Amino acid sequence: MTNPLSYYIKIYTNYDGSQLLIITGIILALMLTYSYWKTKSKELVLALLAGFIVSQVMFTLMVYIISLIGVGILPLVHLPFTAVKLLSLVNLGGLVDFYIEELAQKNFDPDHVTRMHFKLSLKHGVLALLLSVAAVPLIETPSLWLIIILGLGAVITVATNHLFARLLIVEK
Amino acid sequence: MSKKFNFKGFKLGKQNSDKASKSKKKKVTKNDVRVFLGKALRYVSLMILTVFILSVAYIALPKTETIIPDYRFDFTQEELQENRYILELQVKAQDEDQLDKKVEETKAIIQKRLYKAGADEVAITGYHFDNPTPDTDYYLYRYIQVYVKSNLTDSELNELIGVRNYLRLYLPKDDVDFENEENPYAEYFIENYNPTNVTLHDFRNVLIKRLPDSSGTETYFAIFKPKTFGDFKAFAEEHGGENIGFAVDESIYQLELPSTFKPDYTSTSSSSTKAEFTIGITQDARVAEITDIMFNSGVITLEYNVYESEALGAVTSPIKSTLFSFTLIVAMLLFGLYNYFIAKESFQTVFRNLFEIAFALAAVFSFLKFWYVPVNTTVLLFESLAVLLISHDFLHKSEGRLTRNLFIFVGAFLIYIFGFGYISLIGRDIAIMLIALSISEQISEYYITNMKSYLLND
Repeated sequence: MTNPLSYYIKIYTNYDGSQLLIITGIILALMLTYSYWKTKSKELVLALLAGFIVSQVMFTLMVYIISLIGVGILPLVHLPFTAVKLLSLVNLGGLVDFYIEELAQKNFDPDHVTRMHFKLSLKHGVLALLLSVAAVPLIETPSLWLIIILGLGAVITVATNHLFARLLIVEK
Repeated sequence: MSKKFNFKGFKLGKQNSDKASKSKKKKVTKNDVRVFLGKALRYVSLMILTVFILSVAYIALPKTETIIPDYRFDFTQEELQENRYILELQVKAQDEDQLDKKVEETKAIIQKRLYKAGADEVAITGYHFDNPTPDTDYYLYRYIQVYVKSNLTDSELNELIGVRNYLRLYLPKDDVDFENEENPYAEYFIENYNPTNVTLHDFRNVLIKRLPDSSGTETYFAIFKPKTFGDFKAFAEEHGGENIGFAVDESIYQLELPSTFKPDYTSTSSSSTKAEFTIGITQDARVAEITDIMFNSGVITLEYNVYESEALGAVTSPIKSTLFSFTLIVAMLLFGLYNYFIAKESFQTVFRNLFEIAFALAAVFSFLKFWYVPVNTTVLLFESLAVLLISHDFLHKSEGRLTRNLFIFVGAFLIYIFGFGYISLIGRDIAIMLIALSISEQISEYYITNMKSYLLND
């Protein structure tokens, strides 16, 4: 049997993976350029970069761990992956918003930025879990696992995003 | 007309009625007419909107045929064919150390072909027989299983999965007489040629282009673009203007290599675009598309054959309309409860947001149902949940809203453009749903504000 880890790593390295890398690369390039143009903050750019990439790696590891407990390879794993990427974009977009808003204040307080982002991330995490819970008892097993992956993936993604925001913007 | 605007006059005593009537007549101005028309238009637009919203809700919700039995609206479920192939790969014994790598490469190329051709789901795994073909001194045999869910025809699947498509150029053997009338098929036997080193590896890509042929008919041509440092350069210099054998797997035919290769390749300029190797392939667009996929998805270095193939039948999503709607309604209720009790938003905001989201999703579902667009309800449910998840930020009015929403749109659009299979589908559908959400926000704001003022007699 194919090693599930190699299968999921292929999502990022094969044909489908190369497409995802292009998407990720363009989105990152646009987001980082815009953020740096608006804020001139290297810390923010680093936080965005680390958050986006590490959360992607964490998602892969999570799917791998789930596959280890006997779920097998899920051909539709791209569905939660794309949804979680969009959520990550919204979440990091929020961080950029808070940073720009804080820059407009007289006294720039990075702690305030990350506190606001924590609030946003908490909301995203709780909402993702709630929506997953809504779907769990209603659908058949393969889709059920996709919904669970969506919920957990969303929580892990926003948590990773916030961790790097805190680490690189406040604790620098 | 004046009487209609004279309603305040009824409050006056009889003694003043003439005076009042005169004064009221004076007050019927253009402005009054404008106000009246404005109110009338508002009522009409509210009526139309109410009818529209109720119709959309009727079409979008399941089991509404129990209310009006003559009209039934259900999702047209996308029907996909499931197929399973088992391929027997032959690995040369001398390549045993690269066995895993070559098998993985083969799987990746077949997967790439299928996704490019529009397959919805592809899973390729190793396969173990109880009685496989035993390994020999020359070949090792390995098996892979290809599971595919798609709308592709059997012949397309057979070509994409079962054909290796390995290109090699050959030279005719000197001792074979291809002009012999007693053996007119001599040019179609691969034994009558000597293989050369030039293979598909020596071309950086194969461009499929529609061009007029010698008779003026539009035909698809395959333009082989050679690599700068590949073997084809030397081959073309040596054999330009000669007949060569053009073989894909075991089928071969003869063609004349243009002599124009020589001047182009001996030129010191780096441009070699005019020295491309071109052959006519077909007039059928779909065949040309499949040929494009076959030539440009990578080179399979292993020989293989289809050991077993099986059509598993048609499948639809197991999530039916009722279950789909019920799940979504529960999710929206939870979303509303979270915003009201935990995010501490006002009842008005929560209601407005839910109305906007419900209206947008219902409008999209109604469109899909009304025009019988085939959908996969599992994917649609997933997309709806994703839109619900990001809708709060999308609708939240703040300074950075335009930028944030632009990012989401750009993200969804990029996923649509660069994605494949379901990923591209999700990008497109989420972008459409977000556009519907933006329109719904404007309509809902107008509807709720005006309906509220109408109901409160404001």
